[in-house]
Amino acid sequence: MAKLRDYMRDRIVKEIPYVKINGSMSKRLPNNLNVSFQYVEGESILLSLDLDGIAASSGSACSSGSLEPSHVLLAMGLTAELAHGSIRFSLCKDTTKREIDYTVDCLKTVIEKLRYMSPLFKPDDKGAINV
Amino acid sequence: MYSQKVIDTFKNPKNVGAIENPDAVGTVGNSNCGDIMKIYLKIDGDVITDVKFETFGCAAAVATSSVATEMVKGKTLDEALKIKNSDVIAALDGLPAQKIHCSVLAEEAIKAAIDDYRSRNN
Repeated sequence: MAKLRDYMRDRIVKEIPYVKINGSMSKRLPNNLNVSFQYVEGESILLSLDLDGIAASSGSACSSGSLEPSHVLLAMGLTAELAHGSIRFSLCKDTTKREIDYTVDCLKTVIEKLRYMSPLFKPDDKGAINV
Repeated sequence: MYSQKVIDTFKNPKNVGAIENPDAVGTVGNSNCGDIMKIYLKIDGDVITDVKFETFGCAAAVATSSVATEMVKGKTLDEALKIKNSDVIAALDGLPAQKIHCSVLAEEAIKAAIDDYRSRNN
């Protein structure tokens, strides 16, 4: 599972600009990936993925239903904007590489579309984030 | 939790983008609360001839921005000022209770843009 999760992380980092992987990559559960996508908001990412048949979550499992950004991510030093744009992907033992590839492909389209809509994102806005 | 209208509007929002050399811009919200709406207007006389929006926020924020821009297009400034958040909610076949604030933001963004125009032109 960790291998597939790492493959997913590598594709996301390589193919989508302005992302931040939240948390340690060694001290974490093998099925979990938490990513912030700068300039976009988490719920709109989630709903878009949901419409593509992909289930993920924004924020932590312990505070779902809350509209507040994750207090954990804020405590880790993320800005409110980055914390609002975080998504948690959970893999299971049956998750396939094909499903991961489909998810990353959908993500690329979704993030691009939402960034085009975002007043915070300008194409010439380079280097605004420390990944 | 969303109406089909909200989902459809979120998937295919109208009037997305920026206007170059706009006659007015209204920005409301902030990234702490999770929603920022920016509305651009082109105004001829006192009629809104073009309108576009950029929104950082949830699906409801995008949908309310889209319908609000559709409502003001072609209207006079005074007519546009009369648009209430309840009109935005009705146009979307309702909003969940915790998303009502998105419709308020849309109303405020229109008002902020018109205020901007009036202060620019005194």
